[in-house]
Amino acid sequence: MAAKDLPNLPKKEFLIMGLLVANAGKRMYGLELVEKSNGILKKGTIYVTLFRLKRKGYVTSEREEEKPGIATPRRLYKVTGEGAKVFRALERVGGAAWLKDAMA
Amino acid sequence: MSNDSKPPKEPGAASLVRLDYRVPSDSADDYWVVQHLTARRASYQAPFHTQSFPLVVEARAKEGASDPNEALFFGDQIVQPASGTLTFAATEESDKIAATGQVTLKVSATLDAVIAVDKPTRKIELPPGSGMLAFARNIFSTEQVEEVFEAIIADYQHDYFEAMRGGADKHTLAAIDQQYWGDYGWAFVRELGPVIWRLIVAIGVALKIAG
Repeated sequence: MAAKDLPNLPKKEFLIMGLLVANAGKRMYGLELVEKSNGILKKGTIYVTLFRLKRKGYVTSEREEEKPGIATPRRLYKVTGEGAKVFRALERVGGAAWLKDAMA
Repeated sequence: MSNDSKPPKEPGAASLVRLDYRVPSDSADDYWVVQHLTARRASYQAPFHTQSFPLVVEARAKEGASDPNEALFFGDQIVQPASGTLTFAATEESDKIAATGQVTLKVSATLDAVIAVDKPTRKIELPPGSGMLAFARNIFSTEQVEEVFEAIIADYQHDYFEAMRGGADKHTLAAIDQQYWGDYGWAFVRELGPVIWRLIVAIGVALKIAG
């Protein structure tokens, strides 16, 4: 993917994708992402951001399995192949350095 | 049930009553305890795992009993005589019913019963965030509700019930309430903001054209 073709991704979206890519395909809860973001992501906005990423096709989500004791099942998120590709490309054009600073 | 209860008009007629809905801190028990079941009032403690389900309890006067208050059936199980506290076993059916936001006690009288529970008594207490979710459903698309608001409420309930299981006091629970109200508010503004902005722009354009 050429640098000129790269989408302009807001930092929070980039960070979420970084966290999901770093988990190597493992599905993550929204709260897990918040906890691992060094305070950059907030509970009140994480799902709005994840929803935008989903609409862009970079992330998929599904409800966790219903279990006794769960009133409303939580959602689990995973980066898509397209999302991972975009993330890797953005990483190469300066994203990696930003991410390193953000997570420091 | 009390002896001054009015009999239903027809034997076998079912009556409905809304119950208090309270999630107990002790979630281990797999039964409901119905307390103070009277003609107009009932309260119970629900097991933790029923929090998302409407409670459907069917109680029938014992067949052949001279006094219908003598004993009640729940399914095939005889429960304690009505002495102020009735213990009902749970059925799988209750757990299979999808959440509708309503908890009901269904009492049907099959013989010469005097069971007539027909009026809502108290406000139902649903799992935390139910009202917030219902409000969002009236405003946002299904996709927005599922992806944003249900996700927030799911975290809310998760944190809340985890805290309850850990024996959290009311101040801790109130802090969780407060935090998630804030998060919900932020999400609400973030989702509604662009719509309001587009509306303002559209009004601006319309005024410009008109004027």
